[in-house]
Amino acid sequence: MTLIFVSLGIGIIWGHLRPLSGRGARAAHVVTLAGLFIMLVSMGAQLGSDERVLANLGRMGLQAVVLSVFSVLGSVLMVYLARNFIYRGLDAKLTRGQRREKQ
Amino acid sequence: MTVLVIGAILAGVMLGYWLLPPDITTHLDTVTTVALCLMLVGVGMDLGSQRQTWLRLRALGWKVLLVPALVALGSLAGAVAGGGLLGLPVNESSAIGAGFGWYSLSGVLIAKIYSVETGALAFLTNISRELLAFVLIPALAVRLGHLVAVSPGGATTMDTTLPLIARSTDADTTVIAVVNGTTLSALVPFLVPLLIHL
Repeated sequence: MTLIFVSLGIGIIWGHLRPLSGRGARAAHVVTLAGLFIMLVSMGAQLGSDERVLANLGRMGLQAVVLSVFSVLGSVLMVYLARNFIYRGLDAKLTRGQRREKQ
Repeated sequence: MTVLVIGAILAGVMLGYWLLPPDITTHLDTVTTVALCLMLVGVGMDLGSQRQTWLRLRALGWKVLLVPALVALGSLAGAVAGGGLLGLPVNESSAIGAGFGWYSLSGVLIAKIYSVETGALAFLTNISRELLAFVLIPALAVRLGHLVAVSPGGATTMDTTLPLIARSTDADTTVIAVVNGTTLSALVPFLVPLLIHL
């Protein structure tokens, strides 16, 4: 876990101190994508070589739907209940900000 | 992008099933650790260089942060409740819920640091969340208001679901959606490892 936070921290500090130019952003994007695809292929390879996981894919699909529906319901409910409180006072700031951006 | 991600996993599954000898997975560990570090440095650089979004957030004040905070809280509570019904331990269900729709990162993180089976479940859950968001955003915008339409997308409201939010709501809500997605995206790489080790 330390490795995860150290890697993220290096990236955040680097990105904050030297915001990426167009070329740098593209290079960072390629590196991130390459890392991601290596991880995805590896996750797939581990899944494919594990008979127990393969046999449970159907059950996992159902579990995934239940978990995602409950997560979305939780998020929707929380924001719905608080929407009036959040909007109070925010309208003016948003309109002001957008007017400034257009100028 | 989604097609490429699913294609990479399927290619991996076929490799693992037909080609790779079982003992090679141990050798994969070093490669995936390096890949994970590179990927996270890239994710961090992306988050760190988004000064515009953070400046915009400061201008709008703390209240706008309530949106990602409530989306996060609702996601975690919902995932734990759903996980309870399925008999999943709280650390697994909460970490899966903390993916906030970022299926690629949450899936590979959990597969790497916890178990490949839970990683696959995180991947499927969060891809299902993104699909649900695409279906729900237009309907929620009409029935429950623009702000509520931001909530199902989670971390994806700064990229994949943003065009749909922009089309279904208004300019103000689109700004909130960018702040919401950016904040939740910043939380994913921290919350997922913390919760899975609860």
